[in-house]
Amino acid sequence: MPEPDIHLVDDDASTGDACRFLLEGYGYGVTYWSAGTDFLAGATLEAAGCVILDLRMPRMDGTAVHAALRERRSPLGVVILTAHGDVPTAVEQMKQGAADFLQKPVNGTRLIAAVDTALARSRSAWEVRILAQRATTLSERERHVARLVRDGLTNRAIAERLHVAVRTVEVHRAAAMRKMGAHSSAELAALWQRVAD
Amino acid sequence: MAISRLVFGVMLLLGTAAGAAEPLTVGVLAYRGEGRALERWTPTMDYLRDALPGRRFQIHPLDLDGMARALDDGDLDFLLTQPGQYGMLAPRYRLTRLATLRPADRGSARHATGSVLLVRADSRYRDPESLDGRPVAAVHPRAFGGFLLLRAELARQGIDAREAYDLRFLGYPVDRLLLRLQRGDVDAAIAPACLLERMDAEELVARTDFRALMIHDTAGDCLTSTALYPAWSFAALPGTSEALNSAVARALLRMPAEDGGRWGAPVSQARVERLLDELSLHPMRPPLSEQIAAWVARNRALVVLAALFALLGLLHHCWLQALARRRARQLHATHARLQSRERELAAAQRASLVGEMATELAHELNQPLAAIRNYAEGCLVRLRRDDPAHPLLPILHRIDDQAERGAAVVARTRASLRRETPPNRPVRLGPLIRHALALHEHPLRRRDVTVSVDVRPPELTACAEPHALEQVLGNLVTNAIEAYATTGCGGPLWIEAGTANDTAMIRVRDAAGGFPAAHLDEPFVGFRSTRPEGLGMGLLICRRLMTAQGGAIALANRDDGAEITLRLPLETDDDA
Repeated sequence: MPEPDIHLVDDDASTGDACRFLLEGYGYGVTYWSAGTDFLAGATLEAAGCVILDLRMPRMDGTAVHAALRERRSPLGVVILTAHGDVPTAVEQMKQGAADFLQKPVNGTRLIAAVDTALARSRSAWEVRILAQRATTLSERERHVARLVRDGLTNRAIAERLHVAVRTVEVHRAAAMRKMGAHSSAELAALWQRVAD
Repeated sequence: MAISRLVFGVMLLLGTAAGAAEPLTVGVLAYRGEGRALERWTPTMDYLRDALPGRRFQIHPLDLDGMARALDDGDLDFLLTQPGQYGMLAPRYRLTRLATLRPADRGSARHATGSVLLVRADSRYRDPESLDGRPVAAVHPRAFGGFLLLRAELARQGIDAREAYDLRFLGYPVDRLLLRLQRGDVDAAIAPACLLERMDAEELVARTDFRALMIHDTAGDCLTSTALYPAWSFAALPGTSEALNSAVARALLRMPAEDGGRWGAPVSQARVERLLDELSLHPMRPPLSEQIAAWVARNRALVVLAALFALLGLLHHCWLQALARRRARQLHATHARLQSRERELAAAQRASLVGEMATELAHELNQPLAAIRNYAEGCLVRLRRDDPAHPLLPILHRIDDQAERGAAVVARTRASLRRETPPNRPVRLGPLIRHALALHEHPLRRRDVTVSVDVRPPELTACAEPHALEQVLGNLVTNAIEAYATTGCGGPLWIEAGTANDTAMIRVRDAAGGFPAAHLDEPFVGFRSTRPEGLGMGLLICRRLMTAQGGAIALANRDDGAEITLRLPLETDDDA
């Protein structure tokens, strides 16, 4: 998995620079964007990572950027940054899936905690996204076997259920494990659980 | 019943015995009392009885008021009266004079009417003027010899007896005038001529005890202050027959002289009428007040009708006045309400403005404070990694603390200025828009801005906070007015309300040039205005108020003007 990036979207360049300085101090890699449109156009939105969004920006404000991210099903975790204590709007953004919201001027410890929460969520979301992508490569019969493995059935039971030889089940299960990147039946069951087929 | 029949029977008997069916009643002014009147006139009645076989005459002595009553009641057949009285009574009771008593010897006052103003012989009064304000006795305000004659004489000398003297009307009999004057109750007395001489002759008073003022030169054997008028007239009332009147007149003319007096043909009333005229007592020409009263009596219906109309007019007038007053009160109340609403809105606008400026300031200050904190903390992290005991670490902590303190001040100030907005409720947009416009009626008219409002459906109801929404509309209307002010001429302002995508929508549009392009790119930025004196806070306030109501505001240019669209939740069933 690549090192998750932190995107910082703030119209005020000096605040943005200070924030990046702080985050880099804690060892994060930070990309600064001065406008929401630039960020949406230039950043890799499909990767795991975190975006710190200033709520109040001209042209395209934080809520609009967040909406665009949801629309593209981006796995990026969102931290809302607000200068005017617009709590109702921030709470609304939380409901829409933001990991946290912080009021400027933000305390470093709190910012790191929020960023870590967002990164964890993002990683999870990214994994689900990857797993879902992998799941699409399975054949119909392999998907069926994987589903039954998740339900805790043994090879024999699966063979009886599908009226095929145990050997055939073993072949399908091995293919599913390979395609999903699982090293054991138990892992396959856990992964399939997250795909939620 | 039995008694009255008996009395009637006796009277019949007496009548038959006297040879007459019924006595004829002759009313006479008993100016010296009933006894003297009977004594004076019984011989005359006896003479008439003898002269007219089958007739009986009886004297009915009366004072002035009693005479008027008797005449009104129709109790009298004939009247023995003095010329002044006759002049006042004749037209009203249609009297016919049969004969006038005159002195047998010309120049005697004994059978004439005159008046004399007497004072005590020892008094200091020498002329009528000197009696000014003094108590003066007289008989009766309508007594001819006893008051009116002298009043006329005084008037000719420029004295109004009723004003100048403290008059005491003592009534009949007239004797009491002299008795009271003698006793000193009054300073002067207005008495009929010859009263003093008669009473002197009767030894009731001494003539020498009295003195007359303004002695008239025509006076004969009596003291008099006035000219003399005929004394007595014998008059018939309309109830008596022509034949009886003629017979009585003939008998009187044939009657021998007695006590120096003799009946003759009626004398002219001209002098008396002239005198009554002077006193405004003429019966044919009553005073103006009486004339009006008489006219009113004659035209009662007309007067009542006119009075009714006048009354109705008055009522109508009062009603209109009351209406006008009520209307004025209502207008005043409406005006006061509008003014207070205007003040409230202005206060709300000021509060919003302060709040908005504080928000703006907080944002602007927060940015550098945030940067300071972040730089300080970034340094801290790096420095601690290299050397956890670096001497600059505490300093960096202090920088961070100070920045945080600054941020806390800004946050506190802002929190104290933030006003809790009341919750939304269903609001009918039509009346609210009209109300908001009413508050800007004057500036709209002054800038020649014509407003057209279109609400569809007319009962359109949104879920909003009415005061906040009114404030927003007020801001937008003010913006339009100011925009027209910069163009230098008036124009239209359209306000449309309707529904779109399950929201209520209000569009405010003008034709005053619209927003500059930069303004539309970044619409809600403070401290920016197209007007030199404006702060550019109006639209910011609008946005905050709309957001607080769960609504939204959007700006656009359309045709050659600005178009602002407000969106609000529609009234839903659970709100209602």
